[in-house]
Amino acid sequence: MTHDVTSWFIEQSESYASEPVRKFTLGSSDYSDYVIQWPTFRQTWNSIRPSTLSVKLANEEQAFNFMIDDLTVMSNEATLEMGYTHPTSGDELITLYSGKIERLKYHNNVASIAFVDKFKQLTERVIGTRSDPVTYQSSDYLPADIAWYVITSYGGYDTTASSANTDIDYESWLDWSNVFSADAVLVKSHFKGIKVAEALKKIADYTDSAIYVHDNKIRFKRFSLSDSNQTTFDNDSIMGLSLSVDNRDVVNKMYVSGLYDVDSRYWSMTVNDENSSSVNSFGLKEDTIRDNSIWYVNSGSAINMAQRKTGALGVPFGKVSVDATLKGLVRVIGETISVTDMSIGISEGYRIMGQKINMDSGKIEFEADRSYFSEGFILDTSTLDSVSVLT
Amino acid sequence: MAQFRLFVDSSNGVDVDPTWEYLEAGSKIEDRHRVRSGRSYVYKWGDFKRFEVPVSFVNSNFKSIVNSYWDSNADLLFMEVDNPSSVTSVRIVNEDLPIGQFIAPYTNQFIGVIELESY
Repeated sequence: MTHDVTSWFIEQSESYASEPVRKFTLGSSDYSDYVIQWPTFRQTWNSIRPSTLSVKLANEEQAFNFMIDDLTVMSNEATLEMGYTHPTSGDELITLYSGKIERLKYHNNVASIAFVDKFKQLTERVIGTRSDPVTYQSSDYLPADIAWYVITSYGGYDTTASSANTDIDYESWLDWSNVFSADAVLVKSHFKGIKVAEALKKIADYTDSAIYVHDNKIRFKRFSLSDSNQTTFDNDSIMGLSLSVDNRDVVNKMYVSGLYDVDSRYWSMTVNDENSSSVNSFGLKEDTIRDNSIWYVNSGSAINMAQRKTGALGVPFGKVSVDATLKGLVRVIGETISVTDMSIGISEGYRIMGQKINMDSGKIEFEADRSYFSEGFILDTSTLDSVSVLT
Repeated sequence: MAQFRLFVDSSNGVDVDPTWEYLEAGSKIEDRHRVRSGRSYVYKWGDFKRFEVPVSFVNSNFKSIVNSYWDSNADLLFMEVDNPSSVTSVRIVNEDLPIGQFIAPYTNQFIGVIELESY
């Protein structure tokens, strides 16, 4: 699920003095040497919103005027990569962003090109209409199957059910689907004219799943409680850190409604789960999940969600915002990091829920929290590389 | 004193004999980050070279060629004649005409400074 890089790449990203390489490709042409200002790339775990970023390019030679002459190039794919140049084997780069041209702006000798990622197409298409809704009610479905139909049949993306799929990270989708399959989580759905992105957002929220774009493919993940820490951030890699804990995040009694009747507009089932130790400590804090576009078809599926929420949100959890060096370049959303900060006095694991990579300066900001985290062992690749011992 | 050559190709260029004020410099494009422990990280994204090449007693032919390079922002090559393996791609980056001043009492000899930067 992470970026596939060599140990040499990891070594470079942790180095105190390195020469990172940035690459901007439009279509099949490398325009890296024209970039005046590299963009900042932002991403969160479940917003399902198109990510737009802008690259400023030197246009003194009118190198980018070809786009004015042939606007069909706006459908070309642009890619932003970052990495290092190995002395013998050449560039080793990871793709941070891929998207298509959305806007062109020429001002004096600067061409600004704004790109938008894979979610954009899903915001441009609708699923069903009020008079002719799209329904998945003929049988019980895994939520992952509904997401697949929504993205492919109505979002217009690749239907290839293998890792060759160009739009969907098939392996992650399969893993995600297997989670629902193992827990026998089943749903039905009914869409009457909402945007495909909105439908996908409903699925993400209703199943508490991460859906985001990685390496130009839509990726899925449902966080599980136990995991390992892939990287340690400490005083030697943290430039700044803030920690917050918000009591309003706590949910210790969760109601989940299901068995929705489209005609009578009524949920005929509501289950709940209560985290009694949390109630004793923090008082009763209730919340409800119900949706008229997607709903659970049995109490087992609904209680699975209720328990998931009261388990993850039963106690106030820490959220950190970590300004880090390029040591975090290979880390992706959903992975866990160990954060040790002497000034605030924390040394614990967090899950990455969002990230902001400033390609211009080489700073990375992680938004991470402990809502879906239980203490795992620390698998620090630098430790593993040097002494091959897990600590 | 070392002799240099500023040229477009093997048949178009000028030999340059700079004065003692010749200067070769460079700049790095990099970002430095200071982490909590006090350690400094430096990310070097690139670099470029600068040359300040003062010339004097050059004739009008030399002046015309160099000034035309400046005028057209020509892509040039710059090297030390005795060290032809080290060639730098440069452009003349003077804000004003590089060469244009007489050397008294001559009216056919000129003085100026050619500012070069790699690209």
